[in-house]
Amino acid sequence: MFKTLRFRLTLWHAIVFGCVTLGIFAFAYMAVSNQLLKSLRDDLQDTALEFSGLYRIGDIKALQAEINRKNISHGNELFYVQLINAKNKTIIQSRPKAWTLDLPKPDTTISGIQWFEAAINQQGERATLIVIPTYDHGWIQVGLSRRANEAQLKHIWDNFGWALIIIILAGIMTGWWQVSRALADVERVRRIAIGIGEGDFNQRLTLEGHGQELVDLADTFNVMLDKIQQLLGKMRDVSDNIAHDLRTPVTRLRGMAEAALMSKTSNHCENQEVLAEIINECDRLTGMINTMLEIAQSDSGALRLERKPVDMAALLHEVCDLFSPVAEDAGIDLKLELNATHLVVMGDQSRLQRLMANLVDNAIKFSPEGSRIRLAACKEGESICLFVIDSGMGIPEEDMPHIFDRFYRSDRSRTTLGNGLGLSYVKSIVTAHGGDIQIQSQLGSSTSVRITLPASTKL
Amino acid sequence: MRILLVEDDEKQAQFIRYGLEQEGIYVDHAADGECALDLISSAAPYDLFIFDLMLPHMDGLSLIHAVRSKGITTPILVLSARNSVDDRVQGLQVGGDDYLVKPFAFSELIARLDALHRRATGLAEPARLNVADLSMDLQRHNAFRNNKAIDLQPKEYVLLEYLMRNTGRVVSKIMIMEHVWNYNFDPQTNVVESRVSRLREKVDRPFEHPLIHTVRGVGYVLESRA
Repeated sequence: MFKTLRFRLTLWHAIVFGCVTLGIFAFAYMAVSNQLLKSLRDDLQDTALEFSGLYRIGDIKALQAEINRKNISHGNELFYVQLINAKNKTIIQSRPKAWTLDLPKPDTTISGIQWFEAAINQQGERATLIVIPTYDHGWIQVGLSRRANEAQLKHIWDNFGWALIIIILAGIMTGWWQVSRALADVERVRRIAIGIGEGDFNQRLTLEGHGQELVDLADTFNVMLDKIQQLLGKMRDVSDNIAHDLRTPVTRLRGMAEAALMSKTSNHCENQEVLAEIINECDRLTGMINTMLEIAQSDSGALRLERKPVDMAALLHEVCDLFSPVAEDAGIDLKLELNATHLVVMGDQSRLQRLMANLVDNAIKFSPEGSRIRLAACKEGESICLFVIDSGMGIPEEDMPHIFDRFYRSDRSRTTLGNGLGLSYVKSIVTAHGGDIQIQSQLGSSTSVRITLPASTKL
Repeated sequence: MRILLVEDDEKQAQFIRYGLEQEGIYVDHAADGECALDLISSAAPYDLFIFDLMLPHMDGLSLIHAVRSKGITTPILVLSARNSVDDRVQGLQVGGDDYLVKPFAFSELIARLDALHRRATGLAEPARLNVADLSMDLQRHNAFRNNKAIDLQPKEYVLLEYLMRNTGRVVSKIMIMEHVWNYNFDPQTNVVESRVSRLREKVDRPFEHPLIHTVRGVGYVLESRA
């Protein structure tokens, strides 16, 4: 309960609401309190000046009457006056009974107005007092209790207490409501995630009009789901392919062994033939498993490349040298056209060898006698470009979208040696090296493969 | 040569043992690490060890570690079905001397054992290789048959040298790819076949008795069968 986001957010909401309200009140309270004090002082000063004027013109009667009037208008027991002449003799005094404490004595050495704040009785009542000098070197002291002021402030304070409680309650309620609304969407995400956890990958989140952050979350979530679904689909395809494409050679193996075993007429020589064929088949199968694993690892990002500087120019020379006898036997003109040297990439030597060998292998397989194959390489900006261009039979348009698919074999290639992994391996390795591959083809006349790999920054 | 083979799969152990004994190699077999350590401490010293990595109780890496920590320096060939770079590196780091991935060509196993043994015993590098009337001068990099010089391309020379160094022993196409071109795979087109047939044109064709023979399904062997 106390750990839930709902509780914490609501609590914070209430605290912030309360603090802000309290701050505003404190400010207002101070302002009111200062204003009240100021008007009280203005009033006292006006009164004291008026009394001093009446005294100056010698109208003691009028002064007495005015004091009585003030006494009545300020209410009971709140008003104090003392008029003292130069000989320190009290001429007039009006002191409420409740003012039991000694009042502060004015400093006779100061000629101007003096202000005092003083306690006037044991109950802690306070008063503000003003002292002004009279024309005959005596002085008038006028005081007013702060009781009325304080009653007003207390009234404000009491009302505010209730307001504060109401505001904090409102804060808690709106906070709870807001948080609940936001969390309702989170709860929906959670429920859908549970559904997905149970295997239903078709669910998608729709949170339109629920706040941009949650819509973004839903979008991200959906993109992730798409990706997962895609990967699952791929995995299903791969396992289907494995089931089919590994079963075929295993069936062949079993068939060959069984046929040899059952044959009543077979001699040693024929048996040797069969055994040799079985070994070949096993080697092909092993090669296929290894290639499939590498492609799968590369697709899932788990392939560890042994990167070191590899000079693609030298590598192409080797590939060309490796395949030239085969090409010659097939009546194909295989040449390397290379002007540049030091076409260095940070790559995995043996996988790059295999990549180029696969491409040349393909080109030779699908080129008729008398055709040409050209290998080339160059540096373009930050990339090394590699080309394998043949004047062979080309790739039909309907096959183009599938050439990188695992185990895809066009009808025409089924008759040739191969496992349908060559180009998907090439693509995986190029991708793992952070490169790109493009294949263009014209049916019946040419195919050109262009690979770009990031050039090494080291030499 | 005496070899200790540690392999828990009975069938595989049987065929490795059978094959090695055909080559005149004496093989002791242990099915797990503890048995292997018992044999090593009780039997006469072995020339070579062949350890499978996936063993019951004590795995191959621990076994290598245990053997090496006893101060035994006998060469170890590691066999494993795991082919990742990490596995290889780990196998060699704990003290293995060579690593062979299953499934393997038997001829390759023999060749590797032989190489390990040669390295361990420190046999001197010969200056010449001779098989019947074919001879190769390893310093001058040329070959003669019947005292007539054979004109070889650089890769053909390397290929012939490899065949002659393994005289009488079958080498597979993959082994040839590895040693001659430093490729660890066999392309689908018959690059090795066409290279070997060119070599035959030069080494065998003009003479009465061929020396390079095809062993179907396995590879090639250079030997005098006259």
